[in-house]
Amino acid sequence: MMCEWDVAQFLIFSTNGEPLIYYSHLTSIVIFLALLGFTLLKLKQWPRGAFRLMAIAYIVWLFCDLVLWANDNIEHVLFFWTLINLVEPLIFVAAFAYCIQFIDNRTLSSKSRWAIFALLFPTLVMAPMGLSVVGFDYTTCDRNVVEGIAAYYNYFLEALFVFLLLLKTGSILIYKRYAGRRVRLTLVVVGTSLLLFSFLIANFLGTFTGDYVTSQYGHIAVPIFAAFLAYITIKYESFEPRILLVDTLVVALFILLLSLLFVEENNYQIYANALAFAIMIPLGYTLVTSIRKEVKTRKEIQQLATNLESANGKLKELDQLKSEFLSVATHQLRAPLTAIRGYAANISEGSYGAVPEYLNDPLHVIQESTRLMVNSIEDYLNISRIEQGRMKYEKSDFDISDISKRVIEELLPVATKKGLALTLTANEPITVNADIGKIKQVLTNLVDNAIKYTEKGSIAVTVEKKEKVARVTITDSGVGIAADEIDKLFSKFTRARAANEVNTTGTGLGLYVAKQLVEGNGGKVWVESDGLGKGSRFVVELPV
Amino acid sequence: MYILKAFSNYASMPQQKGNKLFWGVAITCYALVVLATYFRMYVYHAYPIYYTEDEIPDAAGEIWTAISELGL
Repeated sequence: MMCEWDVAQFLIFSTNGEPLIYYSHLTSIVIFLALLGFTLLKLKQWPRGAFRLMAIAYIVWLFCDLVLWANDNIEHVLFFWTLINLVEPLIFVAAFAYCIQFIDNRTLSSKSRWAIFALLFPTLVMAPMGLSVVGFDYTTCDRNVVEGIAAYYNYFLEALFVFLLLLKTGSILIYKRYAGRRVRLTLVVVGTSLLLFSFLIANFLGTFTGDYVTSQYGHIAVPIFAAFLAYITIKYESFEPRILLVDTLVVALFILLLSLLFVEENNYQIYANALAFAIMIPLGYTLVTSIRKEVKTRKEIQQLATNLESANGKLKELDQLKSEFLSVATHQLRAPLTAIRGYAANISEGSYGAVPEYLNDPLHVIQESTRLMVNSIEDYLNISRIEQGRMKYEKSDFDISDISKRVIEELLPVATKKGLALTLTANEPITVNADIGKIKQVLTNLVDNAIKYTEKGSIAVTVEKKEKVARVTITDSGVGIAADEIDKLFSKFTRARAANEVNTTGTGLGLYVAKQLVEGNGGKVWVESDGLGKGSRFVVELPV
Repeated sequence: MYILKAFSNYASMPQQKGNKLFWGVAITCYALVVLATYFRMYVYHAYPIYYTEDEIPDAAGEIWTAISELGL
């Protein structure tokens, strides 16, 4: 039989093969070359070695297959067919190794590698012995070969590694240790399994049916596989596709302009192209470097933001611990102080017999000190409750004028003792809806402060109704507040400088607590002062 | 005995050295096989050409026969 075959150019170009072959093979070769380029990038988690081996084996396989399709030389067909049978199991082995490396973050152990090599060894031994490709099939003009037992052994190996990969996929879905990376790992393994499976089926069908054209559709899984990998890389590798795109664009422009220099015949066009080329070089360089710089800066900012968020979380945790400690400590301190205060009052009142004259002053100091300490502890407890969100407000309707009157009555002896006039102006009952206990605490605190920081003169408390609010104004003729301190006065642990000079025992928490309590009742509090030595006005407003 | 000794020496090798040995052996084997195949095809032309169906050995058939003889 005489067959008329076209003579192949460069081993792979002829009319012997179907045009489909060039589309399927050359596209796949380009994709795998691009994937090989991918492995040159600085990717964090990519198992490069095994992946490169798989890509190279696949490229060699595709090239050899193109030779088989295009070539008319019997010896070339036999030689390259043997190479295909040698390379084919390598694709499966390398794909399996790369998946294992990706999944378990480890390379195959030395024993596993030698075991795999032992499995491949029969293929190596059989190839030169003529058990892989037995001879040339000249019964038709299809340029096929007669395959030997090694080819079938290859199919067994390939099926074995696909099966092992499927087992690994099952383990990803079952074991908890993969839970955090399950989606990513499944995508990698499914993409690779799909590639190998379609490749195996296509080759198997080709061998048994002799229809090698249809079997080329097996390579359709290559772009799908590449798409899987590209998706995973961009999504999970913090990989910036913009850099690659800009680099590609600049290189393409560079090549285009350079090639035009050699193609153009018209001098003016050559000059124009040379000029464009000269301009393009610095511009392209600037574009590439600026994009890289921008991406780098953005990544650094993202990293800083992540660090800041983490530090903020830790600070919040510490703050919470501090509040809890404060709460526990102040509770522990309050109980014995209450006992001291109670017994001191009993002794002072003569419950345990007449108190000698010389003990009156010490007893008074004990009572006053414990009162101050209890107040401070109460402030700490309030802060702790406010910061932990445990402060509860039991709101009810009450007359603010009446509460102000009671506060004045309680503190009048203190003011009188200091020689201060304490007056109340409340012309009408004004009902407000708030927590009566907490509002009384606030008013007591503000009037008490006014007494403390007023050396001479008077303190006037006015209660009046202003549209939809009840306003309580405490005006004193005391030390006053500097303008630059007014804004900070209601902050935690803040005291006015003048206040420090008059009274050194304050904690700087009273006004902070007062503000929180008033705002918790839907009201507001602020301070006004004409300056140092000119007194101050504390105003509390509550909704009517 | 020598083989066992060689394997025990291999097991105690540092990983880097073990890797090199593995790749050295694997690449050498593949290179030798490709070279031998080249010689078979291009130098010795030691391959049959089958012009009729009857001449072609049935590798798949042989495997099935072997398997059925083994009773598998």
